Amino acid sequence: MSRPPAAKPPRTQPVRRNIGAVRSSFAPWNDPDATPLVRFEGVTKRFGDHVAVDDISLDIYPGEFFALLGPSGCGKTTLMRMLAGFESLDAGRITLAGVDLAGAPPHQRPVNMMFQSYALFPHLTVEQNIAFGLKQEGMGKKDIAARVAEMLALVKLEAFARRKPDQLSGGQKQRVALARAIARKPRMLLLDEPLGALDKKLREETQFELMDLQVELGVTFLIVTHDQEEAMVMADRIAVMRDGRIVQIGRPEEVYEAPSSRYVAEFLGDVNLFETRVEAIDHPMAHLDLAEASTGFYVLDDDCPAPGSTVWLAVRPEKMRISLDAPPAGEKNVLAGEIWDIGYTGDWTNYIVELPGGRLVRVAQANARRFVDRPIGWDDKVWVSFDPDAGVVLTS
Amino acid sequence: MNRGPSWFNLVSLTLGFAFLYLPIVLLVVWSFNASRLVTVWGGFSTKWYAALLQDQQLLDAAWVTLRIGLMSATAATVLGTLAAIALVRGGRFRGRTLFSGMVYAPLVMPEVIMGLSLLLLFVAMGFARGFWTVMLAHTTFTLSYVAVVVHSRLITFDRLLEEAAQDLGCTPTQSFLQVTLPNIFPAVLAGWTLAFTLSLDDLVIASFASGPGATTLPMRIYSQVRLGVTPEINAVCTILIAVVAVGIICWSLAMKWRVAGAARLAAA
Repeated sequence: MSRPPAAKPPRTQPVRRNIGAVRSSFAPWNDPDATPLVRFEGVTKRFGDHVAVDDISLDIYPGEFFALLGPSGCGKTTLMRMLAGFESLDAGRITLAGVDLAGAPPHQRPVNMMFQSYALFPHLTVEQNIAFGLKQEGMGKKDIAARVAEMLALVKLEAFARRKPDQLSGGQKQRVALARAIARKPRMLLLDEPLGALDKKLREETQFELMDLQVELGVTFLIVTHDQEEAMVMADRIAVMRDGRIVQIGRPEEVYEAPSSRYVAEFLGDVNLFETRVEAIDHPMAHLDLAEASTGFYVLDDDCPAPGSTVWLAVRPEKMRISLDAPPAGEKNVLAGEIWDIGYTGDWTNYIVELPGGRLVRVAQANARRFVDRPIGWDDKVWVSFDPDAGVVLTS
Repeated sequence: MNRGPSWFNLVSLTLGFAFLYLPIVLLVVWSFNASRLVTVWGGFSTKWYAALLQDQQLLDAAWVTLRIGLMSATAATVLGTLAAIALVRGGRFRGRTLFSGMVYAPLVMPEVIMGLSLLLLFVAMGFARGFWTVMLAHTTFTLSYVAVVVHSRLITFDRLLEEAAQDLGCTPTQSFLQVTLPNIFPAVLAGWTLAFTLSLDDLVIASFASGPGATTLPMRIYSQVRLGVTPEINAVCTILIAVVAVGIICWSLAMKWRVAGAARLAAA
């Protein structure tokens, strides 16, 4: 009821195409001549005995939408707060556009932060909140008014300019916080769990708005989130963090489809992990041994260690097929089992299949049709299979 | 279901209010007594109020009290607010518990002891006792009250607001002045009002710290009462009550308007 009606703006076609083009060809991290905007070099932060950020080195390029993703307590927020100047460094250094930020207090750094709780000033109106940072810069009254009007139009809050924060809905507060943070045209915008307090629908809308805005403004965004979907939808690159370290950096599809470890595979989405042994390597295929699979697994041998080693095969539930009919004899990568549980979500159905040894396998199937002749039910005998390129062999 | 107050509630309410306000009502009523005898009603009159204006000693005392109240309340508000900030923001500095205990000790310390210790200090330091010593003494004992009031507001104040201000270009000092102070201001003002009121009606500490030429109104009233209660005293007390009551009514009305204004805006 308090949500702004029809928040989605009518976007013109050229802008949309432009964003797509920019997105797909944007990869400065692969360009050896590109200079990063922000460099973290061996950055470490300790709180007592606890190492919150452990020797992190990371480059973020101009115009990038970068996400720090990890569970709570992994050090992602601390890393961002160090960039904003709210936490000191115990080791290493952070440079922005080649300038070492050491010793620069928060108010002198050309970055602005959007706080998780928004941190709007309750005693000021919406327009005063947005004007706050501009006033500190010593900008003239007329220029401030013009810039505030521009910002209000950008976040579509013109009608709410004279309200106080406690008279706004959650979504409106989020927009004010955003407008206030970008009003000063920072080199970099830091967003701490920016959508965490919004409901699901609004969150999805806002994700796309943030992406459009980022391209429009050309500002580098660094977002901290524990929500993998948020990171995957919005970010150009994701750094997955664990215990103060970065475990993998890559495009969303890289970290999802080619996770470097079981931790990353499990943190991003659902995954079935099979602990197996490498039986033989017959390039380009590897043969993995597994008790539950009568014929074993045949998968691509990318990064597969020598025969005899213990590995984990990671297969995403949506890359598995489920069938009531036995596959043709000789078919590889087949598991026989019984339906243990069915989770119907409308667009997808999640089947939990129990293998003879008691192990559970999760299979997700898109409900592409409204009706099927023989739906899979509880306790049905089923066959689960996947393609040789569906799985990823992990060694850690 | 009976939604009105029960007999028991009505009776206990009446008794409670009677207990609190009967003496005050009596005092107010007697102040309009035409008779000089305090216990004999001689008809309605305002002559004692007119007589007050002729009583130079009483007027002087009132002026001294007012000046001491304004100055000590202001000083106590500044110091008490700083103490509260140190307690909330200082982190775990050495002796923090001791410090907070010492800030709040005057709240429970007997006034006689405070007055006596201040007197000893002033004598030891060779301070000529008078207006300034009373002012200092009042600052000392009302500071704790301000600290308590401001402290309770500060712990609920979101520190992120200060970080946001610094992120937007404020130095720590600017962010305090532009963001923290406006937000805790009601508490600071409440602390000031409390300090002012406490200073206004303090007798014990003022008697210890005062010297020649610095008689406060409570001291004056007390010394006159020892010679017998006069209707003039009742009149001056009635005026004091009126001043305090008007202040409190203004304050609560202002708060009400602010809340109502916010609600109206939200509804619009």
